[in-house]
Amino acid sequence: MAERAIGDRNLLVVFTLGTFHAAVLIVALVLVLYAAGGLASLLSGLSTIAGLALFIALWATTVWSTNRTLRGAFTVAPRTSVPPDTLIARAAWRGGVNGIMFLACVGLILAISSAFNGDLAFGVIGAGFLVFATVGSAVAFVIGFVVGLLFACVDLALVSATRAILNNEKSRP
Amino acid sequence: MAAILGGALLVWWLGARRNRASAAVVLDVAERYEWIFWGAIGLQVMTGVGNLGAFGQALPPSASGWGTKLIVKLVAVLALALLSVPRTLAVVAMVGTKQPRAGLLSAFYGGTTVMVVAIAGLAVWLAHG
Repeated sequence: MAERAIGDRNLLVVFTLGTFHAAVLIVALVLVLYAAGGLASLLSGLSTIAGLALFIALWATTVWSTNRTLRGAFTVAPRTSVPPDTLIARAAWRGGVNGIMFLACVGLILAISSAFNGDLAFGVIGAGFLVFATVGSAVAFVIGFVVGLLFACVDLALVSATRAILNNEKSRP
Repeated sequence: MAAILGGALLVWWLGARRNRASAAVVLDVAERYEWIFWGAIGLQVMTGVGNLGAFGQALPPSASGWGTKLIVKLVAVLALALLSVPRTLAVVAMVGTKQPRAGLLSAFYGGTTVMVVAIAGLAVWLAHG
């Protein structure tokens, strides 16, 4: 019973951080693209269903990736039981893997979307697959690695802030 | 948005009347709220980007008055997400140690309520041009 309660709490931390990463990444990208003037052309080339599917894919792969990163890392959040440098390295690696997983989802969703629109031939699918599987995967890994590294640093700063708030509150008379 | 605002108000109100509601109940409600909050944040971002996509090429430029309001709203959403992580982690820690701190919970959820009301106000302002 107690183990289940701890598991539920750890799952809440995983869901929170995974959702935080996916949401902040998308909002930050929208913000930068909008300020640079490239948002309208990007979004108008994407159907509503494909856009929703892409976000759900990013959300799911990011929560999964966060779960893998934090596996065994905490007992009672936010007190981590794994050294911060290990967590950062693990988060960066998982971020890279997440980048490749999301790229695979992007390829699948866009291929299905194009097939439904009737503007995709098998040759295009094959060529697209080759690009996705080679150059695309490498680029996606590097981008995911850097994003994972950045979010790991942000997360550790937020965990430190939470500890400070809790300790400050505890020391009050 | 209703779930995010209503839930934050509920936990704030429960924390404020700490003599009548047991601290354990407040923490239990707060923990459930955190699940709803983060699920709702994901849905809000997803539908929000979908709404922007509905504008297509008619999306007003960022240099326009409407564009400035949108940028302010997006920054406010980023701030809400960033400041909500310590709140969730603190709730999880309090549940784990079974040591609720009513004052801290009130401050967290009061702050969340104020931020969500501000973002809702920005959304209404955007909707009316």
